[in-house]
Amino acid sequence: MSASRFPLSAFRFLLESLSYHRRMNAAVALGVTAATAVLTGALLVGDSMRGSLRELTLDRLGPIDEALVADRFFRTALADELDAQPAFHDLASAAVPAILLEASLSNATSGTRANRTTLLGINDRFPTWGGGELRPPAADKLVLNQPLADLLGVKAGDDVLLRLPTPSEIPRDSALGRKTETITSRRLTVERVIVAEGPGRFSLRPNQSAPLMALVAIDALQEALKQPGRANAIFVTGREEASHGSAGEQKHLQAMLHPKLDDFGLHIAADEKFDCFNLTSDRMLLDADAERSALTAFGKQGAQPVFTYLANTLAVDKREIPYSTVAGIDLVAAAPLGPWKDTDGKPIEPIKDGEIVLNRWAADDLQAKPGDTVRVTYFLPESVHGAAVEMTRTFTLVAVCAMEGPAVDPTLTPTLPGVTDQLSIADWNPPFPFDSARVRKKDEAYWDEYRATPKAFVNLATARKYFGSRFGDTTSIRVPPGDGEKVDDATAAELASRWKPDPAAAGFVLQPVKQQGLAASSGTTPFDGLFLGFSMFIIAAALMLVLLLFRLGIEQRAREIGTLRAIGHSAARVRRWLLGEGLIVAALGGAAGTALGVGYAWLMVEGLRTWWVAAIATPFLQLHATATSVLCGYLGGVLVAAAAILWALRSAKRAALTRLLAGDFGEEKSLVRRTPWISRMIGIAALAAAMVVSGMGRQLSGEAQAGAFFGAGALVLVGLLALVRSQLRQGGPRSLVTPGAASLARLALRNGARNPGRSTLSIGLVASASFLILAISAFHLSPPSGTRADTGTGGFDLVAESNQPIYQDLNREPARYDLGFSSADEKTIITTDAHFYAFRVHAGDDASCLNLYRVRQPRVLGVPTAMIVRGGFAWAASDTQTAGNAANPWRENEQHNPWLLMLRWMPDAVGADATGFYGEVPVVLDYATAVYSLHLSGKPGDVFEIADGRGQPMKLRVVGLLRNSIFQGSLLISEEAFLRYFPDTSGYGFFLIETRPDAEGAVATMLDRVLGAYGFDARRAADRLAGYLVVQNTYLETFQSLGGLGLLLGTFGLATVQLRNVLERRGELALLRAVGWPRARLGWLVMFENAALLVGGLALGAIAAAVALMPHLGGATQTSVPWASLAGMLGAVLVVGLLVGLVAVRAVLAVPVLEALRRE
Amino acid sequence: MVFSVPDLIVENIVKEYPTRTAPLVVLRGCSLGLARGESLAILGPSGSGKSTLLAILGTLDMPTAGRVTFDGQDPFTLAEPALARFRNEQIGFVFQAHHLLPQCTVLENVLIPTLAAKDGKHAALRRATMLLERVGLAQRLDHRPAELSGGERQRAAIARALIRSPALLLADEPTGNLDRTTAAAIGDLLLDIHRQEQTMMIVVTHSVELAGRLQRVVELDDGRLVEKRKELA
Repeated sequence: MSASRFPLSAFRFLLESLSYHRRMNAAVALGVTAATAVLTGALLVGDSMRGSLRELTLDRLGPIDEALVADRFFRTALADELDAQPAFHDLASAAVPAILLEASLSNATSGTRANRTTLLGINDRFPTWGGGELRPPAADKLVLNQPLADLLGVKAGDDVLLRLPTPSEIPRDSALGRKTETITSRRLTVERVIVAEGPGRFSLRPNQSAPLMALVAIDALQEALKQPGRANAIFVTGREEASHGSAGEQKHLQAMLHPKLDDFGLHIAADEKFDCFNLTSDRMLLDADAERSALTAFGKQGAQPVFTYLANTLAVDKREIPYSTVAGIDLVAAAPLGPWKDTDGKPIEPIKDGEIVLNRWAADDLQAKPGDTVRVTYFLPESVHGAAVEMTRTFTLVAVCAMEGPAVDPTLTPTLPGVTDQLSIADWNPPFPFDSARVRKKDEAYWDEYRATPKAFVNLATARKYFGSRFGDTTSIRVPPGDGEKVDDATAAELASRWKPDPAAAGFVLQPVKQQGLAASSGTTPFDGLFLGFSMFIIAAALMLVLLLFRLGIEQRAREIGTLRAIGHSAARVRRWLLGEGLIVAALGGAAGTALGVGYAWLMVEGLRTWWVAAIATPFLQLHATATSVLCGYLGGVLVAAAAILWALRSAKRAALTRLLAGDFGEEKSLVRRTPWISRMIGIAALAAAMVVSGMGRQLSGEAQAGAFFGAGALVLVGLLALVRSQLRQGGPRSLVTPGAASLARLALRNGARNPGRSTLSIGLVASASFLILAISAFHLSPPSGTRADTGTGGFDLVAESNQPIYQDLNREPARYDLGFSSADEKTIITTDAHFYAFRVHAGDDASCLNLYRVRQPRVLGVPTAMIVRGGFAWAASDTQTAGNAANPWRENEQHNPWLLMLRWMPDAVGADATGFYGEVPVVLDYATAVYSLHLSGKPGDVFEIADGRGQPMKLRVVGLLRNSIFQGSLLISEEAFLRYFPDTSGYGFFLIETRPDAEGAVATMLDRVLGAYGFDARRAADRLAGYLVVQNTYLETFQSLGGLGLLLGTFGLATVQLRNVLERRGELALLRAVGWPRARLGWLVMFENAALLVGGLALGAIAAAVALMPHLGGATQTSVPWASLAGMLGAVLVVGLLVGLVAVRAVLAVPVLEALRRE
Repeated sequence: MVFSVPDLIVENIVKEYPTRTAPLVVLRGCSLGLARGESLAILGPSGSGKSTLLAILGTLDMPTAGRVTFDGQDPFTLAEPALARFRNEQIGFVFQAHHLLPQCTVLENVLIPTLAAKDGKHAALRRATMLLERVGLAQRLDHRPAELSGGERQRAAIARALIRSPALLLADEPTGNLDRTTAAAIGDLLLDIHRQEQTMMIVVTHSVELAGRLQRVVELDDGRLVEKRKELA
């Protein structure tokens, strides 16, 4: 060596130490590697989830950035007009019309049915992406995606039956809406089957599961639906496939959309005979926005709303006129909408409330005169469960109008297909109950002469009051010509340009579907957080291992540390060197861990694709890694390892120099074992804090509750470990003098007490892993086996959904007859006591745990009053339990049945007080949906917004949370509130069914057969619940598996400690052999020591789990602790731990006695 | 901080260890003085407290009572970093077990105390080489302790103790682990170096022969130091 160059520096010394102690450093680095790998892996699982969801979004939408899907059919030309604007192409590539429907298909041969299939009618302009070619099939053919073909069991060339909803302009829930013949069927041949990628995965609903999808040619679909030249959707493609416009660009695009009145289903007709213009709607009723915009445009020129309705009977005394119309109109004197004259030619005064005017024909027929009471019998404007219900009102006849002027205008009555378009009453095919026998010859004569001209008149307010409904209360608006205007088609066209209904109110909104989809890709659950939580105990175990190994390492170097300090290096400098070494080890271990983390993430992703696929529904997940996650994982791992190393160095600071030189890491020499008061105090304080946190867990929810659970568990562990440490520091059993094996066990315990810190850490390692495994097992859920009403199935046997709404009441025999139930089916219904609870459905995103996307607009169910009164289901929380309500005797019914809280909705006021919820609609939902999908607090009182049926914000107030129920993913509001906020939704699509025990199979089979055309799918409620619970249980399995990995690290740590203990004491053990101990006895001693640590760890873990679980057990939970598998798992841990102990035993027995004694 | 003209005065040093009953008294009021260039041997039976006294003199351990002054300064009043520096600059240790760092070469082991100093690296290197030459290890600079014999390890430890030119050299049974011939050679080396370096030297030993070659001899008996006449040693 050259003497001119200084051969030593602190860094070089550090490197030499690193190299010399490489074995121990490698062990520490392995611990850091494990922690960093798990941390990085967890973050990468989050990356993978977000990245995969994002890829799926881009895959299913391709170049489609915006989509307009309306609840009505409009001209396909609307898309062409948008596309034809030059400015449009500055922002987008193309606008393509399409028809998008939900249909059901069945195999024409086997009858196998697929419900909830996305049916897309396209032309040859529809974009294609992902490398596939997408062209519309021939007119009598269709294209299926692979999942749909697989489900139906068909291939190219096979026939399928397509069932479509028949469009109806008139709401089917209205008395005049048609409730039968709602399904159109077509037999089509499968042209080809495409893979479920790119266009074959097309769907507007974010879901990781591949949708069932079928493609048909748009013109064939238009013909089947009797909607020639019309579409219900426009897709706007971006200029680049992966692009999506900004909010500003989307606003500009929306502004370019100019639907015409025809697209709204609105018309202005010139009525030359009566010298006015007639504004009407295809839907028979003008909606509120159409009326408002019409009155804004034509109010100044005297526009007059009219509401005409069907009267089944007009009667005076016993004289009756069947099937007439009654017009609600505010009579005016000025031409052309007036004057209204009586039979004497005198003007009729405006009609007051409770008054009626008959035309002369009706008055003559009824022999009525002013002052008489006229009875008007009519159907309630909204059918009740599909049945038309009659109502009779009485009015005082105040005038009889002459059959002239506006009184004989048949256009006062709107067009009702099947009625007003028929030549005679005998030809009527009305959608309401109709008794043709009541129609007299004179009625036919009136029809021949006056068509549907109203025979009676009331004022507009009265008509609206009695005949108005959620569907509207204006059938037409009559507009007199302005000054100098002619009543002709040209002027009508000019008026049409002035009538500007709001496109958004009618659903003409280009939704930024790709942007929304990408936003939803952030996922409903932060998987990195979830897996970090899952991996927390492995990370903790790895860090405890780092702490243990590093501490063992520096204990081994006690003489070295003592020497360095003795020759004049300060304690701080020595600690800095050791820390430097530790940090280099951590940095290297971290680097290896980061690389390994990618592998760990891959393993987790593969796990989620295979063993744990139930947690994510479908194996769509692919590994993704971002630099940020990798860096965060690396730094996180290294930093926490550095913290553990710093902690381990605390003992080096306290160690006495003379003892260090003697190779001992103890504190200042003392011959007295002092009572470790601080450890005891910490232990007691931690246990007390655990009780408090555990108690708080009852009051908390969601992630806070999970935090309380783990917090309480961790505090119990810390507390018990501190007490164990304090006990060990006392030196273990005082006396060894006991007979037999007890003395050996006592000696083993005393040996364990020789290194209290080391033993405590070993116990802690095993305890934390066993805590995890035990605690998680207790959260395992199983569906209820019986039919108790207070469970997640609500005591229902079947749950069913239909693809197309069912308008009839399935509990009524005549309704079932209309739906096609046979006498044998009726017998089944009667013998099985089948009873139906039908819910209204506003379709939305699946907010259940089966969907990983972050949902914007969950499905809304309208709960029927019968269900509210029936009650049932397990409740996690309800507003009845909140302070004030719980003690309120007036709320006793709600305390027994929280569904009743829905009835406290006061729709016409704002705010909330003790009596009701004003403006905010009470909503009940599943706890998991509230907390995990909607990210609410999980407590009653949460207020949130969704869009109502017209796209307007709707405030919901959580009044109850169901626990582990079949309602996961849906928002439940009262049917009354539902009809108010979703007025355009008709019929029922969700059903809960009660049957006799064990009859659910027969009922389900029968319902599927009879209502198959509606896409009716009934299944056991317990099976549906199990489908949800399996997700949670799979997450628990994942968690447990990771806990098992932590336990593996724990046993590794235990083995290391045991080996170290044995090697340190090899002289002492050799001495025992020298004085005559047989090898077996020595082996048992070491086994006892190992078993004490192992059993101690398992016991502490079990106690911590019991305390943490206390607030979560009992009540209405459906937790079922799998005792057998749990006992098996813990037994396996014990056996593995003891086997690991054999390594130490073997090491003891391998030590040559003489050599060991010489070393001493 | 500069320490000059060291002069060691030990006054009534008491060292006790608490036990469950009465405290165990190891030193019961030891006093001695040592001037620069003097050497002192401490004799006494095992467990008499010789090593405890040496640890206190080397500031490795604190006395329960009594005072140690070094050039008029009580080192136990210093904070730990200053005390470490004091030890680095003023005291050299030779332990019975050599306490060489196994990861370092012989030269590096000798130089390790100099890492605590911020300057004088080249002078330190020259001195280390010179010391190793003097102890007969000039050819073993790059060897690791494991590659040395027991006597060689102790020579290296002596070189390390002297690298910072300490005012006080403390040796705790420096020949205890060595055979007679090697022990004699190490004794010679210590005395030779002491003469050349003019340090104060205190040697704890069971070897009457080694003690007899030092200027003064004291015996630790029942926790008290008894000065022995040289011819009795």
